[in-house]
Amino acid sequence: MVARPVPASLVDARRRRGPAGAAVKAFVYAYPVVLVLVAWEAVARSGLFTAFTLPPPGRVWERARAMWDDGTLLDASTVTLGRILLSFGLALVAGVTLGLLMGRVRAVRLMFRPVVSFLFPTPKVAIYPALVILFGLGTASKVAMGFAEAVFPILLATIAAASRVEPRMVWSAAGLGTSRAGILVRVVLPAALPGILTGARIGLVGAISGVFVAELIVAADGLGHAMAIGYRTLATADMYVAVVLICAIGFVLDRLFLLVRARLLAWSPEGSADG
Amino acid sequence: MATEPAGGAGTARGGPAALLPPAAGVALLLLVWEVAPRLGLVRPTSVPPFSEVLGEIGAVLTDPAFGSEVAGSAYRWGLGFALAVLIGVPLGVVMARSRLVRHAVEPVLTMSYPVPKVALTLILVLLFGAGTTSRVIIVVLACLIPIVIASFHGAGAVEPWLVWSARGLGGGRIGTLARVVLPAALPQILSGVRMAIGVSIFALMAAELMIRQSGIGAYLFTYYDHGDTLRVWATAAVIAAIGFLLDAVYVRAVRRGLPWLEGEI
Amino acid sequence: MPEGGAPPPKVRAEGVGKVFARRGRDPVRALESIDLTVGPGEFVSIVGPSGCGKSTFLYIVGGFVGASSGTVRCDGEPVRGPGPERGIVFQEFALFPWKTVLGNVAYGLARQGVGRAERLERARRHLETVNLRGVERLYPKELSGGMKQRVAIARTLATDPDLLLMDEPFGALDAQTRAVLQAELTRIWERTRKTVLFVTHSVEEAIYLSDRIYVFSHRPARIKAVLDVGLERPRDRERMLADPAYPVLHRKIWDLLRDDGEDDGD
Repeated sequence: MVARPVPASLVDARRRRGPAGAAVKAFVYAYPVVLVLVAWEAVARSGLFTAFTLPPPGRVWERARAMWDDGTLLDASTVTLGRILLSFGLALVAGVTLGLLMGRVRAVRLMFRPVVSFLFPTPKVAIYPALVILFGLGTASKVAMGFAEAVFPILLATIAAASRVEPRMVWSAAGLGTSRAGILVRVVLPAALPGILTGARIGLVGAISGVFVAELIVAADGLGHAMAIGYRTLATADMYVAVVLICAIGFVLDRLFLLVRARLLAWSPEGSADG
Repeated sequence: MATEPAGGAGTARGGPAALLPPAAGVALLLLVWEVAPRLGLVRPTSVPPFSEVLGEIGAVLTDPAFGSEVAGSAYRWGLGFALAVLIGVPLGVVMARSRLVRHAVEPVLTMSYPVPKVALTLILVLLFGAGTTSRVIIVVLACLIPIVIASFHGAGAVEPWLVWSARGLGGGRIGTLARVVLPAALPQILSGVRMAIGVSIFALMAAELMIRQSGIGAYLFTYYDHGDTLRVWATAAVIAAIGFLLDAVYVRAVRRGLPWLEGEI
Repeated sequence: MPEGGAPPPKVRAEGVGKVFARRGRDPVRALESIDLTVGPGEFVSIVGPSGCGKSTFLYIVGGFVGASSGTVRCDGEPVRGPGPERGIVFQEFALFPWKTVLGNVAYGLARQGVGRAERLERARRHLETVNLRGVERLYPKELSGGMKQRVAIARTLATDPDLLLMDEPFGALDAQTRAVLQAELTRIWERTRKTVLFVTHSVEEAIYLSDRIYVFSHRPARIKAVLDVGLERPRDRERMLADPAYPVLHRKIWDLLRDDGEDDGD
């Protein structure tokens, strides 16, 4: 399967430099937010839905301020963010390690391929109740869910990229006295990095979805749990606060990821451009 | 650690010996699943041994309640998936061919890409109730991004001379899109659709686990609430198998229906 | 087999053959009974039609690809895998794109455990050997093809291999750059006297650079002829072109290659 995340900037104007470029950039980022806010306000006023099911943005903002002031919002976000980063980090380590081995070592590839190709297209969330039974209600089951959603895109991208490393580059390194394990770390890993990072970006979204969904289904804390509580206690404005916040967290993490990626790939032909 | 001789010299090795490691991999996994609970490495009440889960799978498959929940979920999924293809493919193709549409849609795509669409489930339930509508919308939202992006990229990569020659031969703008751009973009669109299948099944499952009123997710959750661990694992295994089969059937169908297609889907 | 007390040749290939298995199709015979010797300090070229398997032979000597039959010994030791005593330069440069020019050249020294300060110093010296200055901090993507190949040569020379394997190193370059780099390679070789096994499909290049030339046939490659290049050293392109022996040799090799093309009906 060819995994392809959204290129960060296809809009040519965004590559422009200088104040004009910055203004265009700001507009491009602001426009979808403004669009959503305006549509939200308009629908809320239209009377299509009640103020209970669709509170206007202003009301949600007030709730967010109140939740921020009493500290619940910060606590919930910190818990969720920690889980997202932990599950993404674990998925990166596991996915890249196994992916390099599967991409370069025939025996490992043959051993794991049937398992990986079975698990990849399955809806991992189906095992979430089982994960709760196994790991309990706390952080472990959320991290396991985020991990399960994040690891496969990373693993598959790593296998593909590692198996396509230019053989002459590997030979050059071998000829310059690199051990077999050294080739995996010093040559295959950096050469496969562009592909790995493409998969990792998809994996990051998987980790965010996995953790948040897990918190929504069964949890004791976190942003998703706050939303589920809002649903059960009919505090609808709280639900909107949680959704907006998880969207913001997703957006910021994705942007940070792209920044790190641009740094790591400064050497590559596509440079910091997205692809 | 034995790294393969690079360049794949000798990758043509095959025969029965090549079947051994895959079988060994699967066998190892199942063995661990079987033995770990029996030796008490994990509590058998949390993870029942594989053989017991295998036996329970029969009970799940013959349960008429399970069948009807699967049918209900499949209907909602099919409806949402079809809608997403009908909206997403034309949108992506038009984006590639029209600057205006591209500039309007692209920022929205970029912003919404990292957003977990399933997070909207409970909001949609507030707005549209817990019935079919909100779940179909979730499926559409989950499918839309991969399909639009794949169609956009596929149509954007169509050689301009192909479009020019088609226009030169006297096709209208819309006709050219449908007859030339769409088929040329098909390989990419099909792989986007494959991604969408995976993502949307996840989204529907997650939504039904949250809504807990009907559907496979609700079925699964009922047994979780009853503390019937064995049934939970067996149901999860069946759902996993369904996801896998759906993907496999899709790939087969595309290969058979479009034999001219090259490369991976 | 090496006789008595004389040192073994740098490279000794005996009866080397290579067959590539292909899934569901007939195997391809790439090489057949190749016997080849390169003495210490010798510059030996292999010329042959493109796709004849001469690069495959070089990869076998390098230890990257295993031979299907026959043996290859370097300094009397059978080749079992790649090693730092045999440096290789590829047509495709094969630089590490994530390392700077300096990092590429210093890479092999780092693998040998040379300390950081010393390896950067030595890497700089090798860049000067190939006439590259002021590009140390650049990434390979920022270099022209000729510069990339200079870096690749410097990277290989840096670890001071006894044997230099060169796989059509100038094949991807434009004619002018190619001529300049050929002249520089001759100059470097005449100073260092490293043993070189050089694969090319350019007859002129082979004559200009080599002491001896092996002419390979079309697939499966066999040795058609071994020719000594009796031209004086240090080599100079003008003098070589003016030498009456040059066109004779050039013609002779061309005829060997052309015969092959004609009786190769398929």
